Amino acid sequence: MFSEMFMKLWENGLIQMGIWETIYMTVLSTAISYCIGLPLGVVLQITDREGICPLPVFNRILGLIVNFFRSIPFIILMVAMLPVAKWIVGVSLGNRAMIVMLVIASSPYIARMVESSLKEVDAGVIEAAQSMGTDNYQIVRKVLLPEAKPSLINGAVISMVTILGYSAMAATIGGTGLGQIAISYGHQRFNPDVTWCCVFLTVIIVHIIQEVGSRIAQKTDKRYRA
Amino acid sequence: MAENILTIEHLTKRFGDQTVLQDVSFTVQEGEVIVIVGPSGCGKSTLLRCINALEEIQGGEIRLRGELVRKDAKKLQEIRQRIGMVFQSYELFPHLTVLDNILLAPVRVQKRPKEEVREEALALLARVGLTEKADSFPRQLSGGQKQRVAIVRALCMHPEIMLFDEVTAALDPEMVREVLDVLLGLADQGKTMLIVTHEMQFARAVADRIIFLDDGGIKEEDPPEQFFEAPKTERAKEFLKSFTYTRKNKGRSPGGKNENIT
Repeated sequence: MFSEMFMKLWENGLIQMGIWETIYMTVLSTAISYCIGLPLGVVLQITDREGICPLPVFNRILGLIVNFFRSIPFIILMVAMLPVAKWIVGVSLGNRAMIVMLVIASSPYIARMVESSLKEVDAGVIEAAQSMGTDNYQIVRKVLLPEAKPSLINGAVISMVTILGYSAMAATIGGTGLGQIAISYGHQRFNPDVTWCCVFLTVIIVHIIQEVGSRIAQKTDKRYRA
Repeated sequence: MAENILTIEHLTKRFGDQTVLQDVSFTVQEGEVIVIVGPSGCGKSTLLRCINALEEIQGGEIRLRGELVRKDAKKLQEIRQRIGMVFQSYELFPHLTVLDNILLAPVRVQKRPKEEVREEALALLARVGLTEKADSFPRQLSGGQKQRVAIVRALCMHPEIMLFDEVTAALDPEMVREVLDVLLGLADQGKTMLIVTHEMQFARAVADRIIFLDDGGIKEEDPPEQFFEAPKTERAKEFLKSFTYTRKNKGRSPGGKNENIT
């Protein structure tokens, strides 16, 4: 039923390894991207004209930089950023370089996701906090972020699935993971069952991320009756 | 002579080239309850928002015990803690329980010990009849209950003056009473309050002084009896008339079409 290649990959643990590498790249990149994207999104939101700390010129420049990185197609960004990866992690090939690429590509994306989540927070509630004498830091920590939490978690799920999709391109710079298995063992060596196996596994991983994320988001949402 | 808590002089507020408040001046003394009335869009709410520096002002000045209240004031946060504000649409934090809503600012901003504030909050909740709601979330409360929580939240900061911005305007009629009773109780305790409302009977009962605002300016400033019995300006008379209803031909007209209905 399965091709010889599939059996060989399975017995040597390469597919299992691929699953792990894909998850590892996705989770680590998402985590690092959030360390950059979350503060960036907060800054974009609060320095907006309508924000709690309006700095229109700064906001505009930051917005332009974010848009610049967001508008480059990932595959081109990857090639363009090879020297940056070399500079940061010492190599421009393999999974470590790939994680740098993923972080560069998804941080601006996450910043915009965070920004739009924070925009949903009711302006009246923020005014109420201001009227009680909270400073901007307290508003961000105690009102803006907690208030946007369900939406932020939903955004994180979407970002993570996007990063998972990007990670399949790792093969281009000598990385591994399910994407690489599908391309080099499935596509290039004519073993459609290997390709489809990778597709199936990816679908399962995406589904798990989605399901877990949605549940956490629902749990943290105190605004409506459960 | 009681001390002036709030002094407003020649306050002017514009949105773009539209003037909302023009040369508004008045003072509020300690323990005084002032009710601001006036037609919609006359600038009542904007006036309260200026006093809490939620709006920038274009002219004049607002002082709380001599200290300037401005959006760009250095001590803005400190001054705002001394001015309690209650909003028309409650503005409770939806992700926090009733108790946490009340504790947030006293604990985080005023850095008071949590236990002490907790006790005070529970005592205040008991006074407005909401003890058993301490651990509920705002979504589980009725409008009137939410507004009472919002009042407790503001009170817990120990403000020197409380601002109430149409706090019953979003409520069903039977809930208006429970909120206004709380306000009457506060007035009896000698809290200094500035109230914007459309509830004229309540205004008359609670106010030491009525300020009639129209077209961005103070048109009358009277004790309540005088304002409601014998307003000085035509505009105020007209305004008060809009709260009474009369029908020209009340009952069945004699010989009318209704005769056959039994």
